[in-house]
Amino acid sequence: MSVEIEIEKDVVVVGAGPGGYSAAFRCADLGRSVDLVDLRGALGGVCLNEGCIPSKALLHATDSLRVVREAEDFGITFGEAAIDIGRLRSRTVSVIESLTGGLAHIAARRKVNHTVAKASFVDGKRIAVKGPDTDETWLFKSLIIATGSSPVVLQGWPEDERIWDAAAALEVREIPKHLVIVGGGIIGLEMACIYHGLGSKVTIIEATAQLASGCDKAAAQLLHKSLTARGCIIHTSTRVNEVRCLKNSLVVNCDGPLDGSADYTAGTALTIKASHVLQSVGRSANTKSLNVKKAGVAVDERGQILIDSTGQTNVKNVFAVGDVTGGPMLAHRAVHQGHIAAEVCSGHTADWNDAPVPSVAYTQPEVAWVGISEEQAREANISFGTSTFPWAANGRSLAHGTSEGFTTLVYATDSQRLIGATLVGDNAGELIAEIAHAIEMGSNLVDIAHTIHAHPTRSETIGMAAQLALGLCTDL
Amino acid sequence: MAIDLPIASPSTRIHAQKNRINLREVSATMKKEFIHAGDLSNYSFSAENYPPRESLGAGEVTPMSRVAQLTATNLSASQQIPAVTHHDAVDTTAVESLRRQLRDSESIKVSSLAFQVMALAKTLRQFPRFNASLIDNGENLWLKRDVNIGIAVDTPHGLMVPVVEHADQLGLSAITSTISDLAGAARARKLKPEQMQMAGLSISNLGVLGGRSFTPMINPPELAILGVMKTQMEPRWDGEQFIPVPMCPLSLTYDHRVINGADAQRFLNHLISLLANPRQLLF
Repeated sequence: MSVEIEIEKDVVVVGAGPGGYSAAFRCADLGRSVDLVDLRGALGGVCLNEGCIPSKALLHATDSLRVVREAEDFGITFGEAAIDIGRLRSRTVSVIESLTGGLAHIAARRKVNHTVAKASFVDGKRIAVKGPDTDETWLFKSLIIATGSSPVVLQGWPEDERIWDAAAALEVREIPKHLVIVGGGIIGLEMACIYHGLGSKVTIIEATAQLASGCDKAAAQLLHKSLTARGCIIHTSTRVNEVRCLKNSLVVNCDGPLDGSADYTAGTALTIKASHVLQSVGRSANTKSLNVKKAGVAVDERGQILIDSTGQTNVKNVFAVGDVTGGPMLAHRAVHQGHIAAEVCSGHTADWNDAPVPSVAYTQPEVAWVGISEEQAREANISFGTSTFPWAANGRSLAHGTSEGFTTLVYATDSQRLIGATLVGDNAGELIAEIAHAIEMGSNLVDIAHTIHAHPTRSETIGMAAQLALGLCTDL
Repeated sequence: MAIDLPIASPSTRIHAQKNRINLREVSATMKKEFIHAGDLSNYSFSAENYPPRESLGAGEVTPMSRVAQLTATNLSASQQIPAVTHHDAVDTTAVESLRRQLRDSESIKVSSLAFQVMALAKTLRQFPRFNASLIDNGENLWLKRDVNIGIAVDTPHGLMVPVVEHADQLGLSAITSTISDLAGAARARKLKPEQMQMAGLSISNLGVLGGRSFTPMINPPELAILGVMKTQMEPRWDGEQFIPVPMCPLSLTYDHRVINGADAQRFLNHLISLLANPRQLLF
């Protein structure tokens, strides 16, 4: 009979994505001794290694093709673009490596010990850590679960190299002739922009009536229209029944109104021949391998860990942050949750505080939103008003040769306090920060209308939308 | 994101959390929809001043009257005023003999408080800056046309300050009866709000109870208050011997932002000379 040796640990953080490393580093800054466990050798999780960061590098590369094309309108002409996907891949990898290397440095400076291993609960106080060089049981004082999420795998699909998930798509193994993207959420749409930019024919199949679920309806419609105008085929309210793998193609059988194509009659079944198919129908919480049941940690019906506003689970000294606790599954939400859990598990007072989380679709055009949308305000029966300033009336946009985009502010009628906003157009993701801050500071329309925005910038559209609502705008 | 919470910036919300302050309570107590960091320090300061009842040992709860709670708010405001108190005293021999004379020969009852009110009213006419209030963020002074004197009245349910209006235009017996009516109404809780407003200056007379000196607190937006204590016999050297003289202590608290010390003493000197020679008050 072997005697199990337990190693005593102070704080154990499972998962080294943005939520995990932020929690680990904050704990270390608060004087805790921290062990960070992740099966991946590099820190940064999905976000850095196969998500947010590589996709932004690829989007930047493909968007530069668009910029070059648009330069023709200004009389500047280049030759035919040549794409070396080997260099595209290595450039993306070097971006990832510089960021993960930075994280490793930050971790070392804080003496946060990174163990490459898989963790699974033994009970509410112990966790088994197994990896290439480790096979131990740790008795922890505090544990923070930050295991993140994985792409949902559609049931009943065949296995084939040509069927990708988001991580595979970001590897840019090749440029597909025809990429069918199943799922028109933010990730699917960003992939559509990348591969359409690289020259693939792109078809998007979305089960619901609207792209980018959670996004303002008018913004989703503008994005839909813009992607279609550039040649993407989009079928909304369409379901995939079956995918068959043939030698030279994949056959995707669908049901739906088939509104995205003129080739088909509405209501009939649609068969699409694809060279590759991308599954991007959402992400699910990673709780299975962690064996949370053994610790008694409560999860909801989707396997997402239930937490209070500090990240505390139902088990004492066990916290959870990030995607594993549900949505919105966004890195910046996980980072804030990580800081809060680190502080609370170290005896400090902190709380999520109901902060609004901005969302950005880094598509072309870019879409960003924060707070309460028009639809949500209506559903919640909030007395609200909206004000929209079209970017077609914005000098900076016109100077750049585009009139696409708008800024919509949502405000409470009584207090005129800003409660949400949606922006569509170049740099919308950067501009949304002003709105998030304004909401946090409790700004009302007058505050925003009387904040001087530089001219000519797209940020002016925020000030002007507020002025418009107050009847003070002289630019429309 | 909940929009039914009171509005506060992240730093204010975090400060509230760390100090276990409920923003909804702050909002309700201070009647504010938008809470600033400064509001929290005021709130937590006052909250810290009120200890939990468990920390106070054996005892029992008795409620503060509504009047006392309102007074507390005014007193806190008063404490923000940079105030100075001058202590002085007046010989009441002449006032007492005049009172006796009016009572015995003309059957007119005049209280000593009425003399003080009238003397104060006439002094205010001479010193208009004492019958004023600071306005426009302290940039201007509002000089009041009417001379109205507030009278602090001790009642079983708390301190009340009814106002004798146009005190400078009333005779001594009219002032006496007005004070008597107002004090009766105060004790019977029958004072109307408008009877406690628009005083130019107040007087707080503790004479019946005793005391040698105190520092009365200004009732803002007034600029000064006169405190009066119990008249007592004091020895005075007349050049050859000590003679007993009834002396009434006076304490004048004034707002030093508007009134300087020299003016305050001139004001007191004028008041004392009127009370020492009260026949001037009859005309």
